[in-house]
Amino acid sequence: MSVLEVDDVVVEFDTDAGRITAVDGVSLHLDTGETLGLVGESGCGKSTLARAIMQLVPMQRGSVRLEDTDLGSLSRRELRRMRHRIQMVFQDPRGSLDPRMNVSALIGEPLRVHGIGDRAERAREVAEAMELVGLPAAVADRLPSELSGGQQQRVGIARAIVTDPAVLVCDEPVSALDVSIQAQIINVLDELRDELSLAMLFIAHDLSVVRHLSDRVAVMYLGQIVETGTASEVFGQPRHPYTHGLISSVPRADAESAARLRTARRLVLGELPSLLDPPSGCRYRTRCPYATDQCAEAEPPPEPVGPADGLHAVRCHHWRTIVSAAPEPQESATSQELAI
Amino acid sequence: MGVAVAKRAGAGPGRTSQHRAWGWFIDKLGSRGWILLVLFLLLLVAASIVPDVFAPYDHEAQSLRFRLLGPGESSPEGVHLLGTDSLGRDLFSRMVVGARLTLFIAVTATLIGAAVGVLFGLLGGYFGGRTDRLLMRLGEAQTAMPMFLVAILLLSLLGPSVLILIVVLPCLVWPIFARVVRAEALRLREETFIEASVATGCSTATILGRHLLPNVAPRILVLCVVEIGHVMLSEAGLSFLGVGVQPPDTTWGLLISEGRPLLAVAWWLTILPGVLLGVSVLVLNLLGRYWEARSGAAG
Repeated sequence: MSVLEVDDVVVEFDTDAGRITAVDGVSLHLDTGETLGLVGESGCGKSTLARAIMQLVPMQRGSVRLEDTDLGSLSRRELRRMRHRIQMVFQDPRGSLDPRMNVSALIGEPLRVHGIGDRAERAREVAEAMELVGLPAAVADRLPSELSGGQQQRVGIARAIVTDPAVLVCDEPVSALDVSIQAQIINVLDELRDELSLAMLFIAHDLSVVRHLSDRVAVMYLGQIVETGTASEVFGQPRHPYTHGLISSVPRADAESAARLRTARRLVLGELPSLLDPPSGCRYRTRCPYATDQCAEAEPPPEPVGPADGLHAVRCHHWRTIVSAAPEPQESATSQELAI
Repeated sequence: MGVAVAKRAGAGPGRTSQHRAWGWFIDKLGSRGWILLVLFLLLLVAASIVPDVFAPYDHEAQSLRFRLLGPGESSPEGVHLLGTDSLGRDLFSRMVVGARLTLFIAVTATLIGAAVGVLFGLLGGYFGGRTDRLLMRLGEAQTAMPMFLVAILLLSLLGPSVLILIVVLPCLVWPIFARVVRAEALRLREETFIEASVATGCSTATILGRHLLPNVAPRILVLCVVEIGHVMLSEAGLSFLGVGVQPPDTTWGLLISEGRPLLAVAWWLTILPGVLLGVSVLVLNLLGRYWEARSGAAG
């Protein structure tokens, strides 16, 4: 059963330069205990989508259903009461914590505002949450500024899980942290997910992190999801040239690294176009080596790859003709090159 | 002076000459100077709570034989440190007793003004849009009016009383609080932790009261200290003009007013309460700016 269903969400912003569509008709769903990794470049609308799902920015269209409740149809008060079922971990660990509240007040706040338990029960829940995320009890009275970046993010996670939510939205929870700390935080999330059977939307631009955590992956480009499928499908057999380019651009210490980076450069040309003036038809065509006139004329619909009831889908006119060689298996060096 | 200013206090471009002047004072105070300032204020507060401890004589005891004694001259009662007034009352005792009402009016009026200003500032800054425009135009409209004249008008119409002073004086200060708090709230509402508290499920009241307010509290405190000084001056002005506090109540402003006709023969009756008032306002200002500079450097 899907705990979270996001259907055709559109988010537009007015900027000084004009109206931009940050999220353009995104649909996705999350099952209990499942982790969906959402990847894409900076500025592709990942964070805006997360905020739209959290109902922190207004949606122009579409719906977000949490446990069969349409969040958009709720009054402000009803929405507020629902929020303990869906919580969020933010990118900036320090900035997301009130600098004047100590650790136990920060973690206890969701319980307090939702009226969960009495004072003693809340204290117990806070202590339990701190233990779950690996925070020593000694930091309970500290202010965020007195914690390390990793500890700050642990506080952010503890606050998000203390109400026992069904869905956890993680918006690049580790990208502001040192690499050595990232792994620890990832492991915390990994354990919590299993322990609390959380459905998790995990947003990142670091593919290795996403691969480690995700059951399914969605690739976002200029406000649209261009490819989605199970982690092994998307990473093993990327169908969209952009996905392939992204995966190839991850530097790895092996013999094919240089060849892969050449592939990445060939598949992702130039710079991200402006959201103020998105390309017609396929959003990716301005950077795609396979672009044809058809790509400029018609927007490719999501098409299933493989069986129709499968999870793997791609938005590309030419995915059938672009025989994507899997960048994943290491056995043949030639498979890194892409044939048309 | 120039060296000291350039070295520490006046650092950074965009500082006005006013800031540099305060900077010089703060520079001279060093790192412990604020203790002196606080001590002075504590003395004033103590004098207003237990004036009898500080006043050597009954502040209402008249003696026509020993009127207008200069500072240091004696009557059979003893030495009058700061002299006596036209009715032979001890000036020092009167200044001590006057501290109570002076401080009471200034502090109460400032707190009321601060409460209104902080509330409006938080609401305007957090909600923005129409609420913000309405509240800020209200503040501007009021700032545009010569409030001191309006106060005189009101007090002359309704008759001077301490109560009306405490209602009128906050009008002078609330726009200042509103502006400062609004600016802070505007900045803070863009911070992720405010967004995080919305995501957590906090109500607007919780966000304003538990997240925004504690984060602007240090600035409010500093502003309060400075504004108490300003309100004190305004009250003195109104009392001086005869529309403020009325005898037999007394404040420093009223003392100055009472001494004015005798300025040529008994300078101390005007100058000494004036000096006390001036020094108090200066101390409050210094302390406020000192804390501001310290907290600015720390955070």
